[in-house]
Amino acid sequence: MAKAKVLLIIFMFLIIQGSLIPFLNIGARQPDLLLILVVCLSILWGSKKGAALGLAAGLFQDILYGQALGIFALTKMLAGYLSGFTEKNIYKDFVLGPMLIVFLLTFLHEGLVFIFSEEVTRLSLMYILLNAILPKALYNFCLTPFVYLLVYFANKKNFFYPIQ
Amino acid sequence: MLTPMYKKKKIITILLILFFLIVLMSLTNRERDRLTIVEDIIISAVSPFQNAVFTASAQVRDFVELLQEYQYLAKENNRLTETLGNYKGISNEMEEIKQENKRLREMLDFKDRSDHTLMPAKVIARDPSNWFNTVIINKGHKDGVSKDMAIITNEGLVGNVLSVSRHASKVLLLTDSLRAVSGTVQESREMGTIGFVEGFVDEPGYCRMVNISQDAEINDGDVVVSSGLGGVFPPGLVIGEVIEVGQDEYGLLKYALIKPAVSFNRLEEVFVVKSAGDEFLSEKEIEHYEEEFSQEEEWEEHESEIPVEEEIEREEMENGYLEESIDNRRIE
Repeated sequence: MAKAKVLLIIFMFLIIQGSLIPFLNIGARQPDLLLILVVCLSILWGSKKGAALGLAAGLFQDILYGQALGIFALTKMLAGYLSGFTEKNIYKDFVLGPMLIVFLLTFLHEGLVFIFSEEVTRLSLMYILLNAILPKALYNFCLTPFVYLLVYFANKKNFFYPIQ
Repeated sequence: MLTPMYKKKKIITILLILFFLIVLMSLTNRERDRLTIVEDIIISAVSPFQNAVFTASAQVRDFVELLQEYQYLAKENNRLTETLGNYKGISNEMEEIKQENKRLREMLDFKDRSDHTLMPAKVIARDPSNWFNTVIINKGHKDGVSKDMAIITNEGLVGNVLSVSRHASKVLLLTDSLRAVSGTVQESREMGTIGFVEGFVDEPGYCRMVNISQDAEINDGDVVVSSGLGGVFPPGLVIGEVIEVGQDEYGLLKYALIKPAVSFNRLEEVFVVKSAGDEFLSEKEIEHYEEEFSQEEEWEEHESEIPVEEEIEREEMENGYLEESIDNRRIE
């Protein structure tokens, strides 16, 4: 049941990201809600569950929106796995920690996507860094509190039991 | 330091998954004719929700755009209204200039037709406490204006110069209670004095002609003009129209209520009468005319002594001469 809830939330976030966020984008820049979700839950659940969550979320993203299967699965799995290491080293009641982690992992996530995609052969890394990755990192940084507080209180209420 | 076995397993699993994903990427990173069954099921399952969210989002976006458009239209409307206001202002200004042009043309025409030496002037102020009775014009003694000069418009008599400064003059209007103008009825030539209607607070701006004899022929609608007596106002200037005739309080004389020809509350351009040509009579001329008048009286007395037959003969000759001259004109 908890897995179904997680899947449902992943799909919800995917649908919101694909069908709602394009209407709310700022200067053609879009946040990665799914990445924020993966990182936030990974901070709460640890690296193993975070990696699994990232893998599942990324795979669904690949299926729904990606070109080649595996790109987002790989990048999000890594993001979930790495952010899960902070589970025991972060003060979870303070939202700034997850915000900074999301900000940093956005660079890793987007950088890997840039490398795995064919864009790497056409565009310079610096250009992508300044024009695509940095704005997205800032956007994610700003949206993290909303997602983190949502999953934090859901987790506190044992909404994801027994996964959590 | 050795890595614990469970950690090794974990890292190996991750590496395996990564390897699997990279292989999957390389396999799927090309154009595929068909999706896999799993992809097909997932996309088919999710697409209705995507469609619903997208449609709702699009409607929200349209609504927001409509609101933005409404705001834009409201701003545009305000801007256009403002622009229209400016155009209205310009239009009003143009109408004002047209009216002024028309008035000035009429005045110019009047000036050309007038026998007097006229100087155009512009009303620049009204007495705020009693604006009805004095106005300020933009000509003063530098322009040749002097006290007691008559002020007229093409409509008729306005008043006279009360005081003169360097570049402006104060004009006492005809309707002021200090005013007394000698006037006469245009048709019957009945003489009287024009004064302000005191006590007619319900009808301000009207004049009253007083000291009219009981047997004088004066009726409603008669036009009263200045007689020229007094030496201030030229004769023949229209003062106004009789709107009421009545007995004075003692029942000995008549009075007439006169509506001034000039619209005093709309005065804008006036003329200062600098000279009245030969229309003002000097003392010598007055004496001369008095002598002529007495001679005429004597002649009338003498004429009454001429026999009737001779008078008839003279009248017939005169009529014949007139008829002959009319015939000559017809032939021509």
